[in-house]
Amino acid sequence: MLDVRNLSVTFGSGEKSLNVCSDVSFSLAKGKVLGLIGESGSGKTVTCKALLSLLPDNASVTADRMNFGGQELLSLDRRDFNKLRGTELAMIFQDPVGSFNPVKTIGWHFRHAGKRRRDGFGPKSDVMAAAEESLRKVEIANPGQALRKYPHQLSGGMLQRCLIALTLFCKPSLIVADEPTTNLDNLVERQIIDIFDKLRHEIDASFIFITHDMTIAEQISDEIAVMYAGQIVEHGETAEVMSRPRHPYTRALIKTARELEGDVDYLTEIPGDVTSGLNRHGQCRFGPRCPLHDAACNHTIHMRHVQGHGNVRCIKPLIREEAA
Amino acid sequence: MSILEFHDAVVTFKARGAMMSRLNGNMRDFNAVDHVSFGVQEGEILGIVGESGSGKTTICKAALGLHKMSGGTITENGQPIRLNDGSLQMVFQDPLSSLNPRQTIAQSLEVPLRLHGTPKSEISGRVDRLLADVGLTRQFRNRFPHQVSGGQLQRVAIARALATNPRVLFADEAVSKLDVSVRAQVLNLLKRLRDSHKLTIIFVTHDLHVARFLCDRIAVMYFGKLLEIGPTKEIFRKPCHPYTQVLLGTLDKDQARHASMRDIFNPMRDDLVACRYQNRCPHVMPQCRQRHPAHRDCGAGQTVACYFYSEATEVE
Amino acid sequence: MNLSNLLKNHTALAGAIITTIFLAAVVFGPTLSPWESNTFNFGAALQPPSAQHWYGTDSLGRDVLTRVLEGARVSLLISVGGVILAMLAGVTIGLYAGYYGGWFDMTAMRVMDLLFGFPAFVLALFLMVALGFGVTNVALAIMLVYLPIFARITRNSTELVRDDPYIQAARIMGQSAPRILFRELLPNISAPILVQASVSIAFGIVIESGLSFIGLGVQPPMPSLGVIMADGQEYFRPAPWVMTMTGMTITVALLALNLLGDGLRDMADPRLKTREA
Repeated sequence: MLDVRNLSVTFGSGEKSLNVCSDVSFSLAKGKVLGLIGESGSGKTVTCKALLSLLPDNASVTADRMNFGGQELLSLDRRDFNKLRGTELAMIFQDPVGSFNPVKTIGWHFRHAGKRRRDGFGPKSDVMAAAEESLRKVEIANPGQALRKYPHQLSGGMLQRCLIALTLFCKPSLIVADEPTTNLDNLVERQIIDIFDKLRHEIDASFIFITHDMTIAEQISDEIAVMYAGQIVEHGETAEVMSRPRHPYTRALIKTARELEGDVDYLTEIPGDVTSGLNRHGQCRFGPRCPLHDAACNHTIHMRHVQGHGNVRCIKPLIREEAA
Repeated sequence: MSILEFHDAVVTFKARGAMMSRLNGNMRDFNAVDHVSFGVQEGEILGIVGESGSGKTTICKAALGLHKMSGGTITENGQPIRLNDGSLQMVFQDPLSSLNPRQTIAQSLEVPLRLHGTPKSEISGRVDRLLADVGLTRQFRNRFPHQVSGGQLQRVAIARALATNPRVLFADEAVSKLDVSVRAQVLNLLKRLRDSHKLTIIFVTHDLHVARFLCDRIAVMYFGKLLEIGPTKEIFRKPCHPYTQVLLGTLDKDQARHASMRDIFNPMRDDLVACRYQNRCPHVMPQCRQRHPAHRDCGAGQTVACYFYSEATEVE
Repeated sequence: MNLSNLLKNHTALAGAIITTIFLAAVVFGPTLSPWESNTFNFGAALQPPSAQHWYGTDSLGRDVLTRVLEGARVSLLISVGGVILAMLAGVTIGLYAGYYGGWFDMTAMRVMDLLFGFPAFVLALFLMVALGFGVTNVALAIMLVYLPIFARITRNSTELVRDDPYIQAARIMGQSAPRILFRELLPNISAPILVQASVSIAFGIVIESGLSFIGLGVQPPMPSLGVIMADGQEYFRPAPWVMTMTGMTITVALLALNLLGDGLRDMADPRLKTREA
C-alpha cells in the first residue's frame, strides 16, 4: 500500500539548512496500523506531512521512492495531488478545534466532504444519512443533533470524534493521525483510543498513528517505528519491539514508561536532550545521550535488519539479556 | 503539621455573555471551586488530580492571589496567607510563556532576587547557585528563553521560583508539555528539591502515573468539588469514589470502565446542589440527588465525599 | 525586531533610508545652505528652480529650499512633540485600562472614543480656535488627536498579554503593578506602538501643515511647511514651484515614514517570523 525509501526533508538551503528527517524508509501493508513514536524534533510530523505534500515551499523533499497504491507521489503535480488528498490520503490533526470552520455546522462539513467522495452521492438526504451513520460509528449518541451544531458548541472529545468520522467519510486508503489525543483528558483519550482500536478492525484502510505515548501505540498498532532526531531508529512488530527493544533510545523510553507504572524512588534519566542530535550527519544522532556510545559510533549509522525482530539503527551488540 | 489550610474555599466565575443568555438561564455564575476544604502537610508533595474544568488549577491560582476568592479562607500556619512576598511560588505548564521573552535567563533570575532585597554584590553569585541547584551551567545565563529547550527551560522556571525562598511551590501541569524522555529529569529534580530546600509541593496534573510517582498524597477534584483525598498508595490500592475508580481504570487496559459521554456534568444546566457525579455514578442513591455529600473517612487518612460510605465518621 | 531583520525587509529598509536622508537634510540643511530663510531679496523674487536656488525663490526673494528645510524642521518638531506627548499619556492610560479593566477601563475608553469621534482635522481646528494659535498649541492639538489611538492600541495589546504566565509569575513574586506594566509588559507590546508612532508623526505633519496653511497654526515669519504652502498659494500661477516643491517634500516625508511604519509592522508580525521546523 505505502512504500517509502530514503525520504529526506530539509528546510532552507546552504549554511542555514536544517535537515529535519533523513533516510526514512518503511512500508505499510493494506489494513495495517503503523505506530510512529517520537518526541519533539523526531521528525514524525514532518515525515507524514511530506507524504501528503503539506509542507511549506521552502522544504525540499527528496526520496528514492514514495509509492502509494501503485502511484509515485513524488512525480505527481499539485492538481493530481489535490485529487488524492482527502479522498485517498487523509490526515487527522492534533487540534480538532482548528480543523473545523467555526462558522459552519458539522453537517455542512459532511456535505462538503461528501461532494468529494469518489462514489458520489444522490440527494442531500443520502449524504446526511451517511453522515449520521459515520457519527454513530464513532459512538456519538445523537448524530442528528450533532450535525446541526457548531464546532464551539461541542467539547474537545466530541469534536475529535466528529473529525475522525469526517476523515473516514471519504473512505481514504491511508489515514495519518497526528497525536489526536494529546490535548484531551484521560477519560476522553481512552474513549478515542478505543474507538480507533475498533475502527481499525472494521475498515480496511491503513493507518499511521503518531504518538509519543508508547502504551497507546502498543494497544493499537501492528508495527511500531521509533523516530529520533529525524531518523527511524527502530522498526518492527509491536509485540517484539515492546518486549525486546534493541535500540538504546527505545529501551530508555519503554523503561521510563514502565517505571512510571511501577514503584520507584527516582526515575532513570536520559541525560541531555534532542538538540544534541538534530541536523547531525556522519555520526549516530543519539550518541551524545547514549550509555553505549563510543568512538566506533562516529560514522553514519544505517538500519540493520535483525532476524525475527525488525530493523535497528545501532551497531552495538544486538543481543543483550537485560537483568529484570 | 499543616502548613496550608483551605477552609471551605469558593471561587466564582461570573457569567460573561450577552444579557439575554443570562436572563434565559443559559449562562450563570459558576463555582469553579465549590466549598473545598483540605490541609497541606509541611514537606509533603500533594497531587491535585482531575480533568479539565475540575478547578484544580483555579484553586492554586486562588491561593496565589491570581483569582479572587468569593468564600472561605486559605491560611498559612493559622494566619491568613501573605500574598506576593515570595513564600508561595508557582511553576507553569508552558515554560516558554512563563518567562519574559525579552529577558535573558540571568535577567529573569535577577528580578526576584533584587525585589526581595538581595544585595547587589551577591546577585550574580546567587544566580549561579540557583542555576546549579536545578542542574544547569553558567552558560545559560545569557540565553533567551526561545534559545533553550523545553526541559531546560522548565528548570529555569523552577530556579526562578526558588529565588524567593518559597515554602510552598505550586506546579501546574509542570511536565505535561515536556517530552517523555525529559520529564524524568524534572520530576526527579522536584523530588530532590523537596528535600534539599525543605519545600512543600502542590502538584496539579491530569496524568495519574506522574501523580503516583511524585506525590505522597492525592486529592481528586471534579467540577469544583473535592471528591477524595488520601495517601497515594491507598488511593491506588483502594480508590473509594466511583469517579476515582473510573479514572484509575483508564490506567489498566484490561479493566477499563467506560464512562458514557452523554452524562458529563454541565455547569450551566445541571443541579448544583446535588452530588456532582450523580449522572454518571453506577451507585447513585436517592440522597445523592438531594445534596452533595460531605467528606467521611474511608481508610487510613483517606476521606471521600460519597454517600456510599458510612456517615458515622463525617469529617468537617 | 533587530538590525538584521531590518536589513532583510525591503519596505522598512527603504523607509528607514529615506527617513534618514530627510532627517539629515532637515537637521543640517539650513546650516549648510548659503541662503538665509528670512532674508528678503526682492531683486531675485519668484525665480524658478536653478543651480543657485534648487527650489527657486518665493515672492520675497527667499530661497525656497532653505525655507522648506527649516519649515520641515519646525513641522517635524511640532509633530514629534505632539506624538511623544500623546504616547506618554495614551500608553499609560492604555496600560492601566487594559490591565485592570473594570470601571476605569470603561470610563477611559469612552472618553477616548469621544476624542476619537472627531475627525482629526476638525478636532485640531477646534482646539486652535479655543486655545489660540502658535507652535505649542499645534503640538497640543496633535497630541489630542493621537492620544486615543495610542490608548486604544496599548489597551488592546495589554488585554491580550496580561494573563500570560510570565505576567502572572511577576505578580506572584511580588512585583508592583507599575513595575509589571512598564518593565515586563510594555517592552513586549511595543511593536504596534512604535509603528503607530511613525505613522502618527507622518500625519501630524499633515495636520500642522493644514492648520498653518489656513493661518491657524504656526504664524509667519516662522517657517513651517504649511506656512510656505500658504505663501506659495498666492503666487501659484506665475510661480508654481513654491507650492509644488513644498508639497512634494511633504509627500516624500510622508512616504518615508509610512514605508518605515509598514515595514516595522511587517517585521513585528509573528506570522512572518521564521520558525524552526
